[in-house]
Amino acid sequence: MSLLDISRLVVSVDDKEILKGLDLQVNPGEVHAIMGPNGSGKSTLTNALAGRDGYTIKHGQALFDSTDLTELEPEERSHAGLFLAFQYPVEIPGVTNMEFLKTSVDSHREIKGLQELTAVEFMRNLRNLAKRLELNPDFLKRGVNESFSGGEKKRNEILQMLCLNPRLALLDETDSGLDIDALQIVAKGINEFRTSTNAVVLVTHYQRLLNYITPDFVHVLIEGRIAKSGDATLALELETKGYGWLNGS
Amino acid sequence: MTTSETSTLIPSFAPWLNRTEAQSVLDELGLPRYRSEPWKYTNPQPLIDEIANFVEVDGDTITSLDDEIEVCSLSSPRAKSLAKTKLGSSVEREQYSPMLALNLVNLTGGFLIRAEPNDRSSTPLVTIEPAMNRCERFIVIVESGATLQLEETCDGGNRVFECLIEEGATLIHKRFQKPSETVEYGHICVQVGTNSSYRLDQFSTGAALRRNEIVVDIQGEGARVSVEGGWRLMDQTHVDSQISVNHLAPRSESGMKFHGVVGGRSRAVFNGRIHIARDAQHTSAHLTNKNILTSDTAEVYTKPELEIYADDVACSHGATSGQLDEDQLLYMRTRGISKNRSREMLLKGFLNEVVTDTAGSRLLGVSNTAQP
Ligand SMILES: Nc1ncnc2c1ncn2[C@@H]1O[C@H](COP(=O)(O)OP(=O)(O)O)[C@@H](O)[C@H]1O
Ligand SMILES: [Mg+2]
Repeated sequence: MSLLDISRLVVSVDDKEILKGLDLQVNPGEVHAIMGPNGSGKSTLTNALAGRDGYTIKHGQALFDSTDLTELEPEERSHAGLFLAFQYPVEIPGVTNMEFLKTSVDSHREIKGLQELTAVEFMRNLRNLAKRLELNPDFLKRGVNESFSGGEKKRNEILQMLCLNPRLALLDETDSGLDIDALQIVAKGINEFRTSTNAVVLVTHYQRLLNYITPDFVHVLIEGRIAKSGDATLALELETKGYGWLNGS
Repeated sequence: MTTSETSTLIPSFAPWLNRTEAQSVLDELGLPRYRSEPWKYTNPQPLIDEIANFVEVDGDTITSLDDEIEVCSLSSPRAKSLAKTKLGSSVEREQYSPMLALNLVNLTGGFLIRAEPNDRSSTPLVTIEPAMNRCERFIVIVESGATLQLEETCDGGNRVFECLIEEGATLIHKRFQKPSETVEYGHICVQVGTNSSYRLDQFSTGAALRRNEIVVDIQGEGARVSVEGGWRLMDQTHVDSQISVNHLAPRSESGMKFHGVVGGRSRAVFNGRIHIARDAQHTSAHLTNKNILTSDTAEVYTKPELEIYADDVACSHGATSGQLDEDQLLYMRTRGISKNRSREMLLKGFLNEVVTDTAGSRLLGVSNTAQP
């Protein structure tokens, strides 16, 4: 049984069809990379899966652990173990990272019937994670993503992923805007997260990140459809040939 | 009520305050009218009618625990002599506003508060309790080099503050406006002297009608003014804040910043105005008002105004009102935080950007300790 099972998915935004019949199966233990030119629908896919308003599933379906995702609110998808690292994480001034992360972790614990973490337990765990991602713990007192650099925002997404320990992580362009050091830190975080029971979908339009994380499958999304799938070597092929040769297919 | 009827209300309290002259001013100006410019979205009539219910009482709304602070009734000869030398004729201001004249004509009580410099490290505190059914006036004099903090709780009534901040002095005014079923009028006018500082933190919840008028005149060089706060309105409440900061001297700074959450069938009115006179060079002044509407039936009328007659200044102004940010809401929900909890956290965060006072955040229901 696949963890994520998407079949013939058609998604429209503002009455414009963006995904035009997409199929994708992701099993526990797998890493998939979704590549494709700008505007091909990668973020539309991740947003539709996370439950953003206005991303209407017209046809087909997306099952997460056999549950039809359209039946779940965004927070229920999160509780079920789906995580989206946003391409553009939003800033929330006035809500501190600390408060945000703790409420998030406690919401998950509540669903599982566990008690809230004490502030001390929570902080111990968080400090360790922040250190692994080389984030200055001072960021916890600041507003969520407020005046973070692009790289800090992306590392904060990975930090949240590690806090929530999801079953499926969709990482939308988490590599973009990172310098080489930050890229390695993020890749290390993702590699350490991987187990035989969870799965990762990396959305990227560069092959750069794949030098550090070896995907089991690479899919090329073009104009709302998977135009080609293959193994890690496909990413290298795309690196030299670009996407042009796939347009006609 | 006609103006001639109001003259029959003059009680005997503190006649030295030129209260008969105030009546003439009122006769001349006439009562404020709904839909006139300063009353575009607020009908003044309930505030005027309410005065008929007011009674003269011995005031005990004021408490001072500090020796450095002198507090005396406006009916005392002491208050008269202090105020006369410091503030001159008090009807001068009333020429500009019939509501101020109305307050003076119908006065039921009031106090003079005077702060002298002291060597203590803590700020002397005067607390002022709510005064329903009273028409009060407070004259506040912070003498050169002195510091004073006023903590005022509001719940109905009609109240005017005249504040004078002398050179190098500091006045902090914290204003807690409690949920109220009655109507309330408050006016604060402040003269800010050279190198002195004035800070008003105003936290408002809803009332049947609550009108806040604040006029700050920066008269000395190097003065710093901050007027900040927030409101959180629900049900059928109405809060109107009219705030002017006038830079009349060079090298002064001011900041005016209010955030409001407006729900139910409530109405928030905000008119923030910064005026920079020709001589007020090297001035910096910033004004913002942001509102979040949490229902379709809530209303916000906000207008930031900037009038600049000097050329070497740094100024900004802006106002917004809208719904909660959908992207922020989604972001929180994708992290497993329920929709309601996310909304509450976002509103709290939004208000906490301006509400840095613990008692203020408690009043607005956004304190960290009182979480659901
Ligand atoms: N909110 C939106 N409203 C209208 N069109 C959108 C919206 N978001 C994305 N699109 C359009 O959908 C297409 C796919 O966008 P997107 O999924 O962001 O691509 P990618 O992530 O692959 O770069 C683009 O043509 C884009 O212009
Ligand atoms: Mg994208």
